[in-house]
Amino acid sequence: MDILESFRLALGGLAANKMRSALTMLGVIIGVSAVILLVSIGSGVKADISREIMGLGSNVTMVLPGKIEMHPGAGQTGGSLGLVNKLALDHVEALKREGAHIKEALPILSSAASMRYTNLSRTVDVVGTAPEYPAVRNFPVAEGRFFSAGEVGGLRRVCVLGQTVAEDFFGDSNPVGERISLSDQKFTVIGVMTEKGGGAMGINLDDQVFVPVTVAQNLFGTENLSLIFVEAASQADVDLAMVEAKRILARRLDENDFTVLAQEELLGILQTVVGTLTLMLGGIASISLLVGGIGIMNIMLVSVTERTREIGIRKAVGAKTYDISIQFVIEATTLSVIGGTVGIILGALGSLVARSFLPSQITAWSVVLAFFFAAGVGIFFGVYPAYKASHLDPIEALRYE
Amino acid sequence: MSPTEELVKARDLVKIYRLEGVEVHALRGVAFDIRCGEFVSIMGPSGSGKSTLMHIIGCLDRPTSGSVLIDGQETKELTDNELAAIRNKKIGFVFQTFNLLPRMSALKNVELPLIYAGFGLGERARRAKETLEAVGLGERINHRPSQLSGGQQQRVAIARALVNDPSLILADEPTGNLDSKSGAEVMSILEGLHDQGRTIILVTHELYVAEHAQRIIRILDGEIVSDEWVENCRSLGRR
Ligand SMILES: Nc1ncnc2c1ncn2[C@@H]1O[C@H](COP(=O)(O)OP(=O)(O)O)[C@@H](O)[C@H]1O
Ligand SMILES: [Mg+2]
Repeated sequence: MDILESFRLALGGLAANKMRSALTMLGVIIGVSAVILLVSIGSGVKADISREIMGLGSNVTMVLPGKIEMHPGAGQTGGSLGLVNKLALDHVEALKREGAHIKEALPILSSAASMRYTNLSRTVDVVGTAPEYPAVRNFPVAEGRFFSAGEVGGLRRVCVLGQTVAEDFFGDSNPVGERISLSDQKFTVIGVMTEKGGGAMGINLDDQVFVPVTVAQNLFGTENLSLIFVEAASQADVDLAMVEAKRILARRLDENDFTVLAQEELLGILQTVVGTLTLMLGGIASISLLVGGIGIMNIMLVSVTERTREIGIRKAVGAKTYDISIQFVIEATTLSVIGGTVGIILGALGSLVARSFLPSQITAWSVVLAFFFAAGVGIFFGVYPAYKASHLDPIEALRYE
Repeated sequence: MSPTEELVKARDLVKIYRLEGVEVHALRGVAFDIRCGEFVSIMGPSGSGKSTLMHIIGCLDRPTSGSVLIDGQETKELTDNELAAIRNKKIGFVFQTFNLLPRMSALKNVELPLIYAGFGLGERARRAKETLEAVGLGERINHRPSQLSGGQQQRVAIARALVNDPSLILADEPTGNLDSKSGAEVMSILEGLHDQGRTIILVTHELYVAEHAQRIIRILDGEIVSDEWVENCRSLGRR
């Protein structure tokens, strides 16, 4: 019997039980689309983080509070990010003053606050920083101006709005000169940032409000900075600047109270975390694919039992073990391959839909993997029922009621 | 093949079924030869071992001991797949309960042995149609078994047994589930096949059916009790 005939028989078998075939496929469809969707979200977040961190500029490093450790080889991250926070404005000054290779040090103190204008109100990210921010972050002002050193020193309640905040509260009209309130303190809008686009980790750079760092310290009632950006004089000086920053801070802080991170390190840490998360999500989704496979096996076993007599008749007229088993293997594989294909399409559609509120990126490897995993699951879980069917004793099969 | 050559040689066939420690001796040393072109009836009461014997001759089952030679070939040493090939090419089986595939048309049912013989789509349909016409069902090829009478279903089964042009037709109580008119039709088809030179072994427990054959083998409790020629019966104009 040729393979074409086997396909004809198998498809006939599936068509005879359309509802059942469809439900069995559903298991695989859900599994495959879950794998594709979750892995695409994971990959999207990872790509976003890379873009974000690369966007810092190649000669910028970060100083974070607390100790972040990278265990070499283990691919794990640990530490006490943010648990002990002793970074202060003094340290920023020290870095600027003492670092020969440090061109600029930029304090960042950010937290959420409720913003109000007329009857509009919502929570925004308030970023307390220094006048050098637009230059260091390569993030210029579109309208008005950024605050000055004098305004920082004088604790002036002025603010610069991100694009999204400006649009949400002021629509098309110019916010410069308007008075808004942040956590019930009045601020004067002096500028609006250019549009930067969405970022990773839930940080939308356009959804922020910039205020003098001193004002932020008052507003949030803390001296402690969230992080310090350190800009080296040139790209070649980045390593030297890092060493200097470590030395300068070590004189003032315990070595467990801060971490100087190169971009690659930060990227490495975050990507490892996100990668692990992606694998975990993919793993969970794979379990549902496995369950789909067991569904196939289950239905194939039922089908073998139901068709015992048919198998007996086929054997009586000369079907060999191969003829019977190939028919069931093809049935199972067809279920899983069609299920896999539909699952890929649904997963891809889902990931396109998800793109409107989450970063997502369909990766070729997840599609290929999910497809072959599905097909493999079908073959694997089809083999046992097929073996069972093909080794039925013809007489017993014919007697079966 | 000369008509006197032995198509089936059964030697000391013993079949013992073991059910929960109890042994059932279905066959206790059955031996006979059947030559090409013979029409043989096997008679005996229910439970005497007729079906067991037919299944063993038909290569659907293996004896506990003893041997069957089909067309000179010893079947004892053959693998399951080699037995399947013999069933496919040399033997046509007709069952009491028809054993047709309910979801398939008469034509598709008759095509079944040809699928496993490796014939292509067109050749299969052509031969199956021809064979159905030969058993008088040319008008019913697209009917499903449920749309056919018992006699018609058995004729489809006979067509299926014939379609691969086997040398041996085994019919296990083919009229057992039929009314007398349909039974007579089926018997006349079998006689026609015999007239064309085919070898037929027919199981029945009714004498008037058995007497269509040239030779009657009677078995009781798994043993042959008589093996006689009934040439005179047929010449009395029963046909
Ligand atoms: N698969 C089986 N398992 C156990 N006993 C069986 C089996 N098949 C047949 N037998 C027994 O073997 C004997 C002969 O059965 P069978 O060949 O079907 O007789 P017949 O066809 O003459 O009615 C009976 O006693 C029957 O119960
Ligand atoms: Mg019987």
